[in-house]
Amino acid sequence: MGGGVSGLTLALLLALNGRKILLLEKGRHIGGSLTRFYKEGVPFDTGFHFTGGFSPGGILVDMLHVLGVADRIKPIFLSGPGSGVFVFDQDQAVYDMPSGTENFRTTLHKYFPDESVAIDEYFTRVKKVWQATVSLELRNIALSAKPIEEDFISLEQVLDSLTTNYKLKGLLSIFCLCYGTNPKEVSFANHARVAGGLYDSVARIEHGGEALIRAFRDCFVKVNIEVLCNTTIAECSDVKDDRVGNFVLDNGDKVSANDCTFTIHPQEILKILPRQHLKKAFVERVSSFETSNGFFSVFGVVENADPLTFGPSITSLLPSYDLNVLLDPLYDGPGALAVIRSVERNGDKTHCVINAFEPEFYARVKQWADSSVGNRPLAYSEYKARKVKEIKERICNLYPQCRQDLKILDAASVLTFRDYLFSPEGNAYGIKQKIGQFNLFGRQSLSNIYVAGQSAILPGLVGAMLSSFIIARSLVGKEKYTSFIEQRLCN
Amino acid sequence: MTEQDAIRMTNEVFIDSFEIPKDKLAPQANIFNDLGLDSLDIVDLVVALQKKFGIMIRSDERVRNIRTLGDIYQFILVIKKELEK
Repeated sequence: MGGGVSGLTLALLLALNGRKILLLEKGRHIGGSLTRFYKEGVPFDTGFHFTGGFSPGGILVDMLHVLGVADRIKPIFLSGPGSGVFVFDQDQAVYDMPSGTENFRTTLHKYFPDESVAIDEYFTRVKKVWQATVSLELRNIALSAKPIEEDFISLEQVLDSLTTNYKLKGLLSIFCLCYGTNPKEVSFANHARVAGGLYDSVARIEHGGEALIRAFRDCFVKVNIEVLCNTTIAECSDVKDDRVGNFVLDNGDKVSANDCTFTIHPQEILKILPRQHLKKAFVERVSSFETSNGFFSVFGVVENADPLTFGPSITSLLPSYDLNVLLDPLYDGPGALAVIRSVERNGDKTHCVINAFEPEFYARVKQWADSSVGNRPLAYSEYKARKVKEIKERICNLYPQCRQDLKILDAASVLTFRDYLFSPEGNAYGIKQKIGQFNLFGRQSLSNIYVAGQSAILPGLVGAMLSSFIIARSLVGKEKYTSFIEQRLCN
Repeated sequence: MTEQDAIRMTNEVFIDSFEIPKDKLAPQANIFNDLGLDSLDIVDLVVALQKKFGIMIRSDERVRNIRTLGDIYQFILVIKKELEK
């Protein structure tokens, strides 16, 4: 249940191991946050913009290889001067951070010559977490990863122990924006697992998430995966001996299945599981998860720009060095704004695309939550227009030469994301990954129910796919799965 | 925190979050055989105890060794004592 990248990954892995699969998706199409949309012929990304893991031997490369789609997916690396820039409004400081962990580290040394000990210690600890996280190695993948010391201390605690320099702390916690949990609340380990990948390399994918969706779709035909969109599970019925006997779909059909894996938001899973078979403690745990932020996004093109020099690049405008502030739902100042420039092709046309997005919390648009696409109230349209104007002005200040040629074609609030992508509250990263939290992952007390997805272990493309690789191991069986992985990696 | 507090609050977790009758809650009660929890419930138990006592419990060896309700009382007291240090 769930046609995002985690569900797609799991469906394919299991089908390649001889299982018969029915994939259910509530939305109109498979793909979830990988989905692109077209406005005036220009392709725009919705939820997936860039990822780590694409370096040679990287976890994502291995996963795509095992799935048999590696040759369909072409990474476009963001490297070289100007491709990863952080601008802090407070003091107009500009940090041009190169790709590659070693480059990132030595560049920080140049910006903060008095902080070399703190910088080196930080990267040593990031490395330690990566070495201790065996699941980041596909041949070594295991369901029960042993917790490490860094799972129980926050990013903020580690940074505070290393330095008093708030600017350095700001730069080292910047990737909080890429997983949606603030430095106070995220464990250093989970921060390191995501940030470590992004220090190593940042890449976009040619044709965005759509390339992945197309590749999966073609593979699904070959291995006979049945896909049902506009469909969800309405009820788990005939529960006996802690097993769900039948799954009743919202179209009334009854499906019998050996196992069912949910890759959707944990609180949506809770709505489907039979309440009388769940312990109250379980319901309380899942209900206590907090949904992560989404983004207010602006989609534009720069006309008359030169595609050869246009991108790709990501520039982040940061009104504060304190990521706790920028990720606080109550903060109402100008948000952290990521501005992505990329060159996109559609047929024989080439477009210089700008996609800018800033964190947005559901509370801000909750007053219009009952409205839907096509019947939003005027006040909401005014809110959106005001945000677009503000963001456009910030983009033009960043790139004054684009002022005349920047054309905003569309915008989306978290309500838009909620209604188009079926992500609860329009969230970008599933649930927040808070320290001391035990995520919903793996086999549940109803013994043929499993949970994977970006809320299960780590947010983002890599985390979502990885959770499915781990669950597939449980479902296929350790020995068979190990030889399957070996064989596919050697091909 | 006194031992009595630890016992009372732990019992409240079993009554409120696992809906186990009060009369079953004796220190020697085995949480699996007598109280009906299974290994997958341990995560929910840890989360509920964390919330109740305002502590962070590391799923380490000590959690895996818990068998009886009395083990939990002692475990909570040890953690609380470690925090006081």
